[in-house]
Amino acid sequence: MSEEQLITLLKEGNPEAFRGLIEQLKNKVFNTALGIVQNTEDAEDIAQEVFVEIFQSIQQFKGDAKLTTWVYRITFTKSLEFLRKKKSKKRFAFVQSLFAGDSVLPIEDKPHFYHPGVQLENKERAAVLFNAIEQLPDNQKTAFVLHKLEGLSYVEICDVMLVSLSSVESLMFRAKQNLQKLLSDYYEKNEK
Amino acid sequence: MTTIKQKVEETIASIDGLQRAETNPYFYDKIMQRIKSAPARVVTMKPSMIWTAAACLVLLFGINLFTWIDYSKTTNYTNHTKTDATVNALVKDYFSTNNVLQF
Repeated sequence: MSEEQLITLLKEGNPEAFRGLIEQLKNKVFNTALGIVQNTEDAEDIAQEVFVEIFQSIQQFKGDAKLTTWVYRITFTKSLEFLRKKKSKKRFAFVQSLFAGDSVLPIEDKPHFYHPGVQLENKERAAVLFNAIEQLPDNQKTAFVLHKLEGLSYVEICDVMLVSLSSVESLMFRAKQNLQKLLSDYYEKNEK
Repeated sequence: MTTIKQKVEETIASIDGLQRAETNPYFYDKIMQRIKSAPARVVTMKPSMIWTAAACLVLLFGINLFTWIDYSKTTNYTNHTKTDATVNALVKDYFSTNNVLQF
C-alpha cells in the first residue's frame, strides 16, 4: 500500500489502516521518546499519546512532508513538552519544600538509565553517555537522538525539526563537543 | 589524558549498533482505550465554510455602509438646518436677560 493510500484510509477513519500504522511506527516512536526522556514507562506513555494525537489530527495532515517525518515531529515535540513539565514540577516541589520548613529536599543523583537495546558489554558506558545526553540543550539532544539512535540522515532531521541543513550540522557538532566535554569531566572526576 | 580521551570515544561509540527497544504487547489496546476515553475534540471548520462566512460578513457590512451613506446624503441638509435652528433657539433662550438672576 502506498503512503497516499494509507493517508486516505486514515482520513476515512479505517481502523485497520490505523492499526497498520501503529504496528509500522510504534517502535520508532517509542525509541525516539525513550532516547529523549530516558524512562521506559514515560516513553511508552508519550508513544501512546503520539498515536492518539495522530488519530485526532490526521485530517489536518496536508501531506507536505512524509508521514514518518510528521510522526517523528509529533514525537519529539511531545517528549520535550514532557521534559519541560517534569522540570517545572521539580522546581515547584523544591520551592514548596523551602516554604514547608521541615527540611530541604536533598539534591539526589538521578539513577543511571539503562537502555534495553544496549549490548551487555556496553551497558555501563552507554548509561554514562545517556546521562551526558540528558544534560544537552533540547535541540542538540533531539538532533543527536534522531541521528545516533534512530539513524536518520541530516536531511531527514531537517524535515523533522523544520530547520536548515547547516543548522542540523551545527547542532550535531555542538552536541558532540558538549558530550566530549561532559564525558571528559566525568572521567576526570571519577579517576581521582 | 590519552586514556580519558579514549574512554570518551569508546563511550560515545557505545550506542553504535543499538537494538530497538520493544513496546508493551498491549500497546495497541492501550491506545484504543485512550482514544475512547479522550474528551471529544472541538470540531474545526472547513476553509470553504470560513470563506463563506467571511464573504457574508463583508456583504452585510457593505450593504449597511451603502445604506448609511445613501441615507446620510438625502437627510444631511434637513438635519443640519434642523439642528442649527434648535441650537440657535437654545442660545437665544440661554442668553436672554429674563433668565438672569437678580440679586
